[in-house]
Amino acid sequence: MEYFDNLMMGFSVALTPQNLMFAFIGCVLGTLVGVLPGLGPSAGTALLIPLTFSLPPTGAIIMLAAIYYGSQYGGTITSVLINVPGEASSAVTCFDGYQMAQKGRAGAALAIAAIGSFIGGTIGVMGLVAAAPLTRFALEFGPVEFFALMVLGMTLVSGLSGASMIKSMISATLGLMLGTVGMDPAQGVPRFTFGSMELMEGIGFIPVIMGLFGVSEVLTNAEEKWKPIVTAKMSSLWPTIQDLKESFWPICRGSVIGFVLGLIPGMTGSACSFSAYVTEKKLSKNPEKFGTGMIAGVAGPETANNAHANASYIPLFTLGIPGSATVAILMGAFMMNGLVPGPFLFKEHPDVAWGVIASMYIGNVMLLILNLPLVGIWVKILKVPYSILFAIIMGFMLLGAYATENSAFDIMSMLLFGVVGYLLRKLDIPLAPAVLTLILGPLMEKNLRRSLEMSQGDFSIFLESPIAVGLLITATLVLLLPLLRLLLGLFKEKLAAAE
Amino acid sequence: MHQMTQAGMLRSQARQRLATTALFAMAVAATSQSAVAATPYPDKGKPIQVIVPFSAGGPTDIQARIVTDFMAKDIGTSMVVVPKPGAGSQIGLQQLVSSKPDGYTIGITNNPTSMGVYLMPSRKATFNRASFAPIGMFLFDPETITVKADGPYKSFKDLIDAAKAKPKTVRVTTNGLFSDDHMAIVSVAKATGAQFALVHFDGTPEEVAGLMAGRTAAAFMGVGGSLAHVKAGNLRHLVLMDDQPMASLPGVPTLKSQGVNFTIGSARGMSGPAGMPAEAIAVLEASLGRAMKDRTVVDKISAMGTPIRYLNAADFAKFWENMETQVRPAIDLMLADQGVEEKGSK
Repeated sequence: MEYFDNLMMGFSVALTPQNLMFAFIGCVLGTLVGVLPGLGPSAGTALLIPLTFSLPPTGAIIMLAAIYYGSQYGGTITSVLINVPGEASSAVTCFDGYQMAQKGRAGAALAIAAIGSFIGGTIGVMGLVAAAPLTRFALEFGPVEFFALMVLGMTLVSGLSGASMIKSMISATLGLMLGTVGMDPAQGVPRFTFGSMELMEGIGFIPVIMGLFGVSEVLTNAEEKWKPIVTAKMSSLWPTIQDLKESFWPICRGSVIGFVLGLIPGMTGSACSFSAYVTEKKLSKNPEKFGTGMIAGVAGPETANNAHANASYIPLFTLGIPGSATVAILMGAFMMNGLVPGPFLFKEHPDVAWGVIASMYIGNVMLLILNLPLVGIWVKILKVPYSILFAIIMGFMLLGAYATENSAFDIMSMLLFGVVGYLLRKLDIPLAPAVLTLILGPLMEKNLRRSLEMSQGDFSIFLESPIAVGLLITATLVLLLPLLRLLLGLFKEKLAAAE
Repeated sequence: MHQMTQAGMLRSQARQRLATTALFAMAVAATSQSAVAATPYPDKGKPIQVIVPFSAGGPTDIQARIVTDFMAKDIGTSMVVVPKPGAGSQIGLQQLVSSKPDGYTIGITNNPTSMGVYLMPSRKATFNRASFAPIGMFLFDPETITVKADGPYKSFKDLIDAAKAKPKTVRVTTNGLFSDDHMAIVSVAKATGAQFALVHFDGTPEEVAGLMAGRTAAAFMGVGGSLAHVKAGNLRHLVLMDDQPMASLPGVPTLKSQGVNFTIGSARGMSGPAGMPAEAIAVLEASLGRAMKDRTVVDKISAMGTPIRYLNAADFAKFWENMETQVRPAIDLMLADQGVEEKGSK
């Protein structure tokens, strides 16, 4: 009952015309940040913080929060329409979303993504309200547990493989190798930096993603003359009943995956969306059809990244610990306004805390209302001649790659990885495993080294945590299951032969 | 703390004129060609670029924006904050020191992080302290040792005794390799003979999470990142690595009073490239001084939890030099501790 009262008080704050306007501006700006390739939520929020200097504290935070979850909606659009991820956590949507667009079903893909995002986002916000008991879980995840989770994540790479296992392993290894560039996390020794200052902190993830997906897409399309992006006839803008049925469970699972991973400080949105994609593929009756335009491959990840964006506020509100890079930037905005995120925020400034939470409910509704009618307008982008559209996209990508860190080096690495991506496509080497290992590899290494720093080199530390043991056993099972199945099959054949 | 800062400001102001004159003489001697300015500084239409060698949205970036927001109005030209993160501030600093010293490119330094960049041979930095023209310092966030409030360590001595009793089992954390936290740990270990198990995290929030979950024994972290959690009753400060106790941390002794003569903290200041015209330094220095007395600026920065400490150009230069003498041996210890084969700091 107390929660309900508090939430009502929050709504009374969030529903003032002024705060509604801030939420709306935030949603629009966030969608834009998401749509513009290369400009992700953390760069977008950071760049827009100065805009909020003169706003009242609650309004400023409502707006910045809306930019973050709004960007998760916007990021899908370019992934689906032109195979260029709007931001990193939507990269995985390219695989099936773009294929759907190729079949004239861009409208359905975008609508399902918006609906999934809405459900995932709302579940994330609801979790915020009931957050207190979940706090413990966030704290349980130390380096040891994180490492075990990453091991499980790595075993899922096999789930991303296309036709050839060898080719996907080549891709996975490439990602792992790229992840080792930079300063060694435990000793500070530069690795593979070739004396370059820019490589000290590793290869920027965003330029790599933009290059591998975006630039290589532009290059591939440049081979053809005057081809419209989509040749198939556009079918209805709306998802069919069948689409909704097929998306129901992926949206549920995506919500859970995004929400649970969102509680863990240090988890990234892209790790969540990739996990959701792999999960859908593993559970699907037709895993081989993934990558050809399965709606589950859009619904799952798009729901997961929104659930993650909203759930990553939970550790901030309950513990004062930011769950992701973007939330860390938001924490700066809180502090700047004299608000200290953490348990005391609810006691000392309940109007702000509950006001922001209520505004997140409202913001998610706004984004759904904003995005569904916009689907029709976005889809029209596909009618723009390729030669014009891609010149514009290329411009935005260059801008986005530069804007994140004001670094010309990032532009160069984006272009380089564009060529790499193009070559990989020509060789039929899938990009997904490389991206997954590039996300997981550095996190895995960092947490392994940290765990061993804690135990002074003793590996038994991984057996002391029940969570870690559980995750490691699951990982082992994932690896062994196909083998067991194979052996079982052979055994049955023998039995049959013997009879 | 505020009283102390005020007193410091008054003292600084008294010295200000003298220092400005001295710096002016030095700068004229160094750059006679650029000292000939046709228009008075700053040229109203010409923006001043402020390089922040850390990520947009981080504390240094936001603090720089708060301060320059005031200064821009104060001196009547726009000031543009440009985050140039990377390589632990080396990329931004490199750009700062190699920019034209005309007063239209200045930057924020965050010591001892920036110091580590030019003192560690492996970084191959092409600059040092003499490459900067100090304008003024605005923040000093002293280092602390922080533990869980209901944990077993009630005093600095408890922690050291535990680390001596069972060497390399007491887990202490930093917010990153080669940070001021790291320097503090190796210096404390050296002075007391205690041996810790060092864990390097990414950022202060991870250190807090480690303490709260009871995974780690003590976090070496600044007042800024820990104060809110101490006030909330979750964490406790054991010692403060500043010259004097702070009013906002009642009952927390200094490390010096515990027998370890070491002070460190994160100092944020404004500097230009060496050779900047004295006139420009004087204008910016005076404006920064006014900014640090402005109610809005002070409130906004204090709200972020980091203690304000204003020093004028001359005092900041002295502060920088003092810190460097403290940091040099700490860097040698860190490198030795990491097992990196390097022949000491430059």
